[in-house]
Amino acid sequence: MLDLDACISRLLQRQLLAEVVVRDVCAKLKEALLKESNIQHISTPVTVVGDVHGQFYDVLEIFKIGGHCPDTNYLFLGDYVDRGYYSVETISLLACLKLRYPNRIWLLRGNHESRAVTQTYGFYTECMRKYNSANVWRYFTDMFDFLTLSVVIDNVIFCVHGGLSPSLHTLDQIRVIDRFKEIPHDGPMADLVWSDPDNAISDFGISPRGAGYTFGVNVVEKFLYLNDCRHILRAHQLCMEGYQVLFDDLVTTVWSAPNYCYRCGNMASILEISPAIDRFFNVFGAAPDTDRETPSTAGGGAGDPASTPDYFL
Amino acid sequence: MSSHPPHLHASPDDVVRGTDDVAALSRLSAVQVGYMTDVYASIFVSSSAAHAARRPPLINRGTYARIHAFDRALELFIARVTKDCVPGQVLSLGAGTDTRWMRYKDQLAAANVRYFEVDFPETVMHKISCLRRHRKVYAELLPGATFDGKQTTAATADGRYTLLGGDLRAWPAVVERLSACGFDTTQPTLVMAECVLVYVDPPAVTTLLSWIHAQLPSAAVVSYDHIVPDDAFGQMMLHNLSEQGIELPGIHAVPTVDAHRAQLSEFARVETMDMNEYWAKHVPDEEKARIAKLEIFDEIEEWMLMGRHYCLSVAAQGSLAPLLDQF
Repeated sequence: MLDLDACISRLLQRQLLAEVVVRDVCAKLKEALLKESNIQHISTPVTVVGDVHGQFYDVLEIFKIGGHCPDTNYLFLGDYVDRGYYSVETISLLACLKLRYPNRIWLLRGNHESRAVTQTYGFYTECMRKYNSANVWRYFTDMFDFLTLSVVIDNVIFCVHGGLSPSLHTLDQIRVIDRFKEIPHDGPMADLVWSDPDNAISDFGISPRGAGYTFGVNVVEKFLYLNDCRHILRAHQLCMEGYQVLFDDLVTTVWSAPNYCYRCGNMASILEISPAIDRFFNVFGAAPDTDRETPSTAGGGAGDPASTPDYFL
Repeated sequence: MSSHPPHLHASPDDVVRGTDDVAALSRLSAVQVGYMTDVYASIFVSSSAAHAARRPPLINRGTYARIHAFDRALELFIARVTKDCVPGQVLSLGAGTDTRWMRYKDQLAAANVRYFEVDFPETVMHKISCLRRHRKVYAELLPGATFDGKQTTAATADGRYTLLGGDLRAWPAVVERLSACGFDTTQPTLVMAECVLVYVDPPAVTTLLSWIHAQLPSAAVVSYDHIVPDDAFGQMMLHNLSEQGIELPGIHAVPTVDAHRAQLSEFARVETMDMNEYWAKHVPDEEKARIAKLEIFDEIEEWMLMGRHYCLSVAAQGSLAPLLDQF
């Protein structure tokens, strides 16, 4: 019998769950997520969180400043793992919260919720280091296949990790995607988690990321019009000020990992949306070193026991 | 894992020497993933470190870029002296366990270009020691080489390659040793400083650059250094490096692309650019396409941030001034 409150309590103290507990949490979570459509409709008030990338202490900070779940409703836009030093603890906590409070916290799939990406950017290595086996990584990456792709808030704010796709004009087209698989290299599902807005173009362009597309204002206006929406809310791109509003307030990027990779020196934010679509960017910086892990105390970077932030020397 | 940061027991010079280990590991990582070929890279990394050498894609790509820049400068120099039918010299400062001479050995010989490397005596010892542990490579690269323990000098029998222990902050002494090893100030000379000068006290850098300008009528200088200390990324960079005991005295004295240009203004031609500009303008599209296929690269914003914080400076005078047309 899974005691989710006990699990959550452990995780909040940054203690790992046993491998079999992770297995059970993921199995149950998959069942719950199965019921979610590719587009989940939710209502304000909700606090929207961008990429957190394993920065566990900053996730704790988010709950401190935004309110704890379930007192505050949360929508996370993906990219829970990789890059930071505590991807395992971060995704474990969010998975347990989702299972415990399924209607108070929503988790989208980001481009890092992928087997291929997590083998390059640290989550796989961290799982191996912390559990001495690949099982936990497998449980989580199998669960990632079930995460929904998008959310619409109050029928007017379309939320996705990356952005738009030349193959997807309407919400109905998103609904019929078979999402229960590894993120493909290309196609509509890949585009939703990889694309970026670009105010230098008006239509679709080639993405420098090698996946997804860049999209401009014409594409945004058309999508919003066709789907009776007013705004696109997404994450995926580092914002030095924690958020960025584009295209004359049609697209917003929210970024929630302060001092990303211990290197970027950026601010982060969470977006608090209340009924009547009142919008507040709660901006925060990295917690002081005494309150958090630092490269030297973390006991290991994304997989590397002796890691410190990388530079060219 | 030790509770003491490693640098607490090391001198500042030890820490600077330690940056070569990071460079060697990054080089090996980039080679392992396929960014470039370098059969010598593994010689300078212990086998235990080699297993965990793999760096994030951003580091692999940036390591490729800096190596590309200096390889390109060397190739342009070789082409130039070949065209002019004159012998030439390469002076590589703070090269550490750099493998450039090894990779270009044959082209250098064919072009009649001698290669001088200068680094701390400890680093020179380490490099020779690594080479000696790989007999076949040692036999290939340094047959009949002589080694002077007192002077910490190694030289190949044919004089094509000379490895000198010295301190860049005591440049006159290094000059003396270079002359004793046959360095000829009248020959066209390419001076390379790949992530070196930024660690050296600014007055010593000025001395060095002034010497090059005054004493080498036909010279080119290529330097790669950290810049922009005062934005959020730069401040975090200095903080993170300082935590490892690494200081960058040069970054405050020469903090921008423009400051690097000013520092080299005595030379007839100067070009300075950050590594984003170098990548955009000088890495061919086919190479970019090839590299894009090597591994997933999901760090565009960080790549641009990093690239803004490294400066490539190229300056030249005399018969080498036309090299700058290529930059």
